[in-house]
Amino acid sequence: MITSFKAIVIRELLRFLHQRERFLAALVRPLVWLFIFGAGFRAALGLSIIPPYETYIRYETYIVPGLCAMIVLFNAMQSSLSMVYDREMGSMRLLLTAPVPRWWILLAKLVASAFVSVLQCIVFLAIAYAFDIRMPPGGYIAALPALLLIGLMLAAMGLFLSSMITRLQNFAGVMNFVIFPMFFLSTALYPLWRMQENAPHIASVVEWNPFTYAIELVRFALYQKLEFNALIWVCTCTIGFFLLSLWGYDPRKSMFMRKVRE
Amino acid sequence: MTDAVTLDGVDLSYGSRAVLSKFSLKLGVGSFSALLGPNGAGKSTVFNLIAGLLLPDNGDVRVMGNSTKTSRAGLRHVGMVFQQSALDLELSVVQNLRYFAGLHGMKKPGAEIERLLSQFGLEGRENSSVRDLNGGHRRRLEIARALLPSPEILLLDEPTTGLDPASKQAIVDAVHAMSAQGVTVLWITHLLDELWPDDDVIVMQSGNVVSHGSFADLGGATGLSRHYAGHERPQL
Repeated sequence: MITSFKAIVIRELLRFLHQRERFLAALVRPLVWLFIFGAGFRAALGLSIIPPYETYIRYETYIVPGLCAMIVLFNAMQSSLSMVYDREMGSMRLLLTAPVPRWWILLAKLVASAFVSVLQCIVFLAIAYAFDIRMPPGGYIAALPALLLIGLMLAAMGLFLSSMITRLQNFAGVMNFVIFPMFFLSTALYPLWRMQENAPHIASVVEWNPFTYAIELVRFALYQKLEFNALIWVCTCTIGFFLLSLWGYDPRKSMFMRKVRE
Repeated sequence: MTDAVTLDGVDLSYGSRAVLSKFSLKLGVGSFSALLGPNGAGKSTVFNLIAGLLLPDNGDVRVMGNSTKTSRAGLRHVGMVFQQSALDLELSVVQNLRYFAGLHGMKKPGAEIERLLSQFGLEGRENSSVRDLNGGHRRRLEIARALLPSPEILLLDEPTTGLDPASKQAIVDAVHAMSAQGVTVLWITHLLDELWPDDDVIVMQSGNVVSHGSFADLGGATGLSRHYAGHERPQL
């Protein structure tokens, strides 16, 4: 079983390395936010000292964890898209006929997607560091398990979505209805207290968004602190989404069965 | 002797449409069985049931004695060539083979990969991207991949699609030779010239077996052509 696990992870890494455009696109998006959006909003948004920060920080520093989570979210969706593509192209059948339990196959897919996300985040953080947007040195190490964990959570969500999406063309809808609301209704770009002051109804949505907790887990980890509430949310959502994707890919009662039969 | 594959009283519906009803089939160890029938007869459904991609609503599917409902262990013995290509276009020829070997738990597949690349005329193309291969070479690669874990059962759904006559004949001969060595083969096809007189032929129509016997007993290509011609022609 370990050999098959390794095979799936290596395959995903190789696919990622072969798709250089994907790597560039994954980096350009958050860098545009960091350097263009960040510069523009630096003057407009004032940030008070809120945990985990112990002093005033630049706006660019504030949005780094959210942009890391954005990289992970887009990668998870990309991975989900490739699952739908594989299913349409037929190569998914190879995976689903492997002589190992299906939950093991799906777990390997999750781990592979999370690894790729972490690699992208490392490069993004290095670029930010080079442009003087820096975290405490130990924070970079502490953030790795947090990034891996949110990578698992968002990959599990992507996996579940891929089991529900019947056609590749429907994926654009997912982008509109999942990625953007998740990102904007979170603490990626502005702290919760600001929303509580100006738009309390939106703030309550943000408080129920798992992506908010993914960002906060990374934000605190970058300052070598553990946000326990965020950890519980992320772990619970990871397990929940993974169970849903197991259900989604179960040939007895799933959407996948109908799709295979079509 | 245990049958390699058994479908016993299988019911399967796609929504309200019943595709298989009380369907039974046995493939003896080392047999070469050809599954024939018009489009929509249920041939690919039988393939998917044996491959574990579908589970029956009722009845049981057993592969090397393992029920597909409770165990995937039987799949370890099965090599498959799907009707639709299942290659990863992002990877090279050898990466596709190594990936599949890994999925089947093969730790050091190097020698076997080399042997199969040579057998299927793919030597020298190890590092080519699958995207750059023509249809015939892709098909050969799919068959080579199916043989990689030395399967005891081979499921092939129209495996010679896109191959030139010489390659097609080579594949037909190679698979028959494997059957003679004890590999159980289920070959789904419309092409009667791929069959040998002693092959077990199962003709399906609307989810039922309508004829079953050796190719020779069913009248060979002439007899089976007549059988096909008896079906209603589709309105185009």
